[in-house]
Amino acid sequence: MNQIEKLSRMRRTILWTVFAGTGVAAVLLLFPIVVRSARYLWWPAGRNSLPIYYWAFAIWFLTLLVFVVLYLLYKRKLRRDPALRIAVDDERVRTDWLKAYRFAFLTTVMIAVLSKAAETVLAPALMRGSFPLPDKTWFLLTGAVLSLVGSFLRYNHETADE
Amino acid sequence: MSDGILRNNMKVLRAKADLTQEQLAERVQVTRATINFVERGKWVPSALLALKIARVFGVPFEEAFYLE
Repeated sequence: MNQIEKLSRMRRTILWTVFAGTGVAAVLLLFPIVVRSARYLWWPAGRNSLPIYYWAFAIWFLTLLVFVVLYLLYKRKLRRDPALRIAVDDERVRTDWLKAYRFAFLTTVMIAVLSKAAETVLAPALMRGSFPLPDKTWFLLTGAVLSLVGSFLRYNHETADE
Repeated sequence: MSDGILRNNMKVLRAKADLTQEQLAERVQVTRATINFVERGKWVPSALLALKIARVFGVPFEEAFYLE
């Protein structure tokens, strides 16, 4: 495997890490909203426990930390060889990123519209239990990251050598 | 001029030159996946990339790529 392939694979690993971490965070954010009985879930249960979605933020923070470390390592390898940088970021990869940004933008707009609609319809019911819901921004951010990284990985999927 | 689809003879030329997709990708400075996509007609390369590929095989552009 040459250096171009190694770095392409490293980029995919970084993106999969971000995708998986954000995915877990999204599940934890959505869980108490989708499953009504879990609305009062605190973990660990006890006097000083935290709402379950706080763990989503912790996982996200950890994902971000891992991402930053891996990304810096990736960038350092690329900086050494400009020709390698051009090869890894070739014209198809750039187009895949553009398509992914477009998809993520549309998804974010859709989430914003849907959450506004849900807020209008569901807010009184959700607030009645005085459950501290995470801010809408978190849902938008999660949706944006998941759709951007997920769609890029989808567009940029690898195929076997023929 | 009629609209057409860009086809290529890359697979044949690559076999003649005894090159793998990875080796060809390294020579034209793109990823192997991009070569794979171009070869299967799933991605239309830029003029620059198409000319680079033709140059690696040592054939005129029209021999590597053609309109259908």
